[in-house]
Amino acid sequence: MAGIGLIPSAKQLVTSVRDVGDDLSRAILCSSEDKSAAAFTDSHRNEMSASVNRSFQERLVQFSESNEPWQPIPRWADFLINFGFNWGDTVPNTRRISVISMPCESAGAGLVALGAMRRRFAANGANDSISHYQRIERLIAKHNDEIFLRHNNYKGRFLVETKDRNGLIWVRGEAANTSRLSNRNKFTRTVILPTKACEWYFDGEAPVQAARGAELPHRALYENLVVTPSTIGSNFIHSDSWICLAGRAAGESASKNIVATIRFREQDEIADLSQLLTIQDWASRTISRVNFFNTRTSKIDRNTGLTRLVVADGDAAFLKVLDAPEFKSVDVVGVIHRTVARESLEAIGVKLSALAQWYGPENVDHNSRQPMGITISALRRK
Amino acid sequence: MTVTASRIFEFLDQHSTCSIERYEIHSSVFSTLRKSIRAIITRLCEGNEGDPNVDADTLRTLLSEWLTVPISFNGSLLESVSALGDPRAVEMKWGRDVRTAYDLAYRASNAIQSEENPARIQIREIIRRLRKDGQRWRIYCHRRAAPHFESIFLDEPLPLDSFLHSVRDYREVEPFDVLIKVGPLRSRGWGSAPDALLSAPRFGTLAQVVWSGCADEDDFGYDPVGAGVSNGAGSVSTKPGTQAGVSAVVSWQRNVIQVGNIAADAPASADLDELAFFSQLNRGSEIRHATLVQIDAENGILYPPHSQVATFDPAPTTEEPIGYRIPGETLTDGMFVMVPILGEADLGGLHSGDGHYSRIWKERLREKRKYAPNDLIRRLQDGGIQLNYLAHRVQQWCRPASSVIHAPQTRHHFEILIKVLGIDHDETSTSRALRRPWWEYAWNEIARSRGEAIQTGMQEHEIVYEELFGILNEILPLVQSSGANREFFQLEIPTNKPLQGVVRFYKIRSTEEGFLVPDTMIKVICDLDTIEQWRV
Repeated sequence: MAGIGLIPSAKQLVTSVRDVGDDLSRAILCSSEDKSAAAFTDSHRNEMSASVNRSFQERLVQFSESNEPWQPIPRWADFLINFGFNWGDTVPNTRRISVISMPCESAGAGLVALGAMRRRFAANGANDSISHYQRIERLIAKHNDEIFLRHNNYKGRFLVETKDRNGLIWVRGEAANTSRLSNRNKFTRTVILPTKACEWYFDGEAPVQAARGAELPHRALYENLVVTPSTIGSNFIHSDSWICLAGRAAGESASKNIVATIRFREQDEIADLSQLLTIQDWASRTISRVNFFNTRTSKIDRNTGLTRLVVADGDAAFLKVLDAPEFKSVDVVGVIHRTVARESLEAIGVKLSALAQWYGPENVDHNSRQPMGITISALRRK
Repeated sequence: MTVTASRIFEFLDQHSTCSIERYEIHSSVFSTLRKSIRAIITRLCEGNEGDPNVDADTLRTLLSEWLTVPISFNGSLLESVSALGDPRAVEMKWGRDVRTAYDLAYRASNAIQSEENPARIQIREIIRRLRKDGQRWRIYCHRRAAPHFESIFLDEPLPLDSFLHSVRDYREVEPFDVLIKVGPLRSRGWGSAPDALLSAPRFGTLAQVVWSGCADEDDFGYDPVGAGVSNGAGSVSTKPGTQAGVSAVVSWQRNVIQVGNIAADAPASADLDELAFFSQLNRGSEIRHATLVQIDAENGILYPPHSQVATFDPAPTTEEPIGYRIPGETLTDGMFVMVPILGEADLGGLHSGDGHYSRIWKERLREKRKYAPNDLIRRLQDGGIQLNYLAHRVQQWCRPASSVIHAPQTRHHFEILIKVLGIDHDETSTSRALRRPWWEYAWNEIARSRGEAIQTGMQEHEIVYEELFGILNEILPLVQSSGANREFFQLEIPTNKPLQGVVRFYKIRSTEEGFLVPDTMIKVICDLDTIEQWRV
């Protein structure tokens, strides 16, 4: 089995899925897709529980780095995917921080994010749709006139105006007075119904829900990356902000370039890691399952407030994320490498020492044998 | 990324245990020389607490170089010792103790010329053996040490890719068999190398040639994760099993081989670790840590840690070509450091056209050097310029101005030089503008060429830089085309803009940490010879 990556355990996942499922039952279902997703969730929960004890199959997914020949996923890459997958769900008030120290530059952060992302594909209600309506509601309280909404079908941008006595949110078209508007947005005001909220999305962000027939590609690839548990269909049509990749200090393109060196193949289907991560600016206009934090500019591409895990690419990104107010209480996994100057290494060491005042050691639960050259430290808030 | 992570992990899987062959070199004559020089430095520093001591710094630089670079034992050692002055002057200036140490050092540096440096012999043997065995090897050394290695193999030149000079070089190299390193394993200063040599090896064997007494840093091979959060700092990779957290690190086997003559009456451990000793010397409060950004073969700029440096990145994929970057983090080789020479950066009314004054004093200097070189050197020394290799430095100062004006590094030395050259204003001049000594005008011209003007500008008018970035972004295509395949270029700011002047762009050759620098030398262009003395 050497060289063939397998993710062995999903026990924790099933527990967490039940938790999320309970949350989902209390949530507002904002579209017909959500309703069907909920129904799908109920039936699927049992299926996923059953899948835990299913015997493992050899994965068919192949791996290539920097256009090298295809090979089974190497142990180091499998380990990192596994690490992200097994990071598990976050627990309120028990923030965890981990640093993975690598012997070389790599796309390691992207692989950890991919592993965590794969886990979310298998969790019921693991998407932004549930809280999307509440997020729109919050705009009213903020009286924000700089954040615009867009609709999947209507042209133009809309500002949230008010919430009426019936609890309906009203929006006004930004350019409603313009005579050139198409017939479809001639109205000046319209209402956002909770059940239709996912047809609206924040200007500059990925849509919350994919248009009909436009679910995320490469589903088979994701599924075979980790054989069990099975993925849930509705997650392939909804964006998710749970995971955030904090890019390299050198900039977004440097981050994208490094993850694009990793490619996966499953039969005839090939995708590179930058495509699989579905970061909104790296892919064509579709849903996005990973947020991106630009370490250089300190800007996040989709600040939903729902992020619970940040995977930081490099020492500078790790340090930046730990101090960033938007990530104050979220879990952080930093993937650094040791081929840097002593000052950079010491900056990490000093930070970890400082954190030791409030954090205790955390058991790192990864099931595959650790590759030579990788060291890991993990902390949990006391 | 030139080497894949898969390739590195494949290599590490096959090399869970690596080895260090430590060749400890002994030489009784060299030991005497070391001991004497150390004694002189100690005495000079004791007498000058808190003040920069040029003589002590020069000797410290020399001895540090001897201990970390395979230099030839030739006349330069004797010249270096002699540079302190004649014996009587030494005794008068610093006392009997220093005179005694000076005499010993003089005799040792004289005697040592008859020997070949045993470190060079050892390197020759190692590389010949590696070549014979067909092994893949590299040398890790500072860029300026490479010629000393090359001089060992004049008959059988070293391949161009033999050397690794920086952590970036190391990061990009494919795994190989043997790494050759002269000097102790240190993370900063003379003979420094990346911690990754031990914490992330790309070779099976480290052949380390080191002078007796020079110890490796205790925590060399530092890994912030392996060092453990619970138990603080500590040695990591060299001592498997001490680290907290979860680790799968390479273990090291050390084999020490004693080489050379060990004096019969001296224990092998008699030599002290001068490099560690120098690191501990109190260098005064005006000194601070800095990172060197080398901008051409002879010049560099030193920046304090985490400086925001105005830069241009010529990479077509960059998101922000013009902007601030941090040396060693976001500022890397191949980018350009920008040095604006702005009309608004007032120099107290002492402006001059570039090269106006330098043409005058350089011409006079060339004449003096041509017709009375010994007299020139003697008068400069008598005037107070006590620099090592002064004749060589004068030769450098004669060179025509290029991207910088080659000149003494300090204002005081320049003043002495101009006085020795006997240059002043024409007495008949009635210009009211010329109310300061001539050398001050010439010095400001030099300072401008070194970027000192923008240092002032940065401190006082950060907004000027914002304005400048905006202008350069407007003419970005011109900046990008000008920077293509060039090491240096300059652009004039368009006339209709709020700022006037030119911006110079210097391509970065390398960045290097490990310097302790006087405040006055921060953020100005400085020659590498001078910078060497601040290496810790």
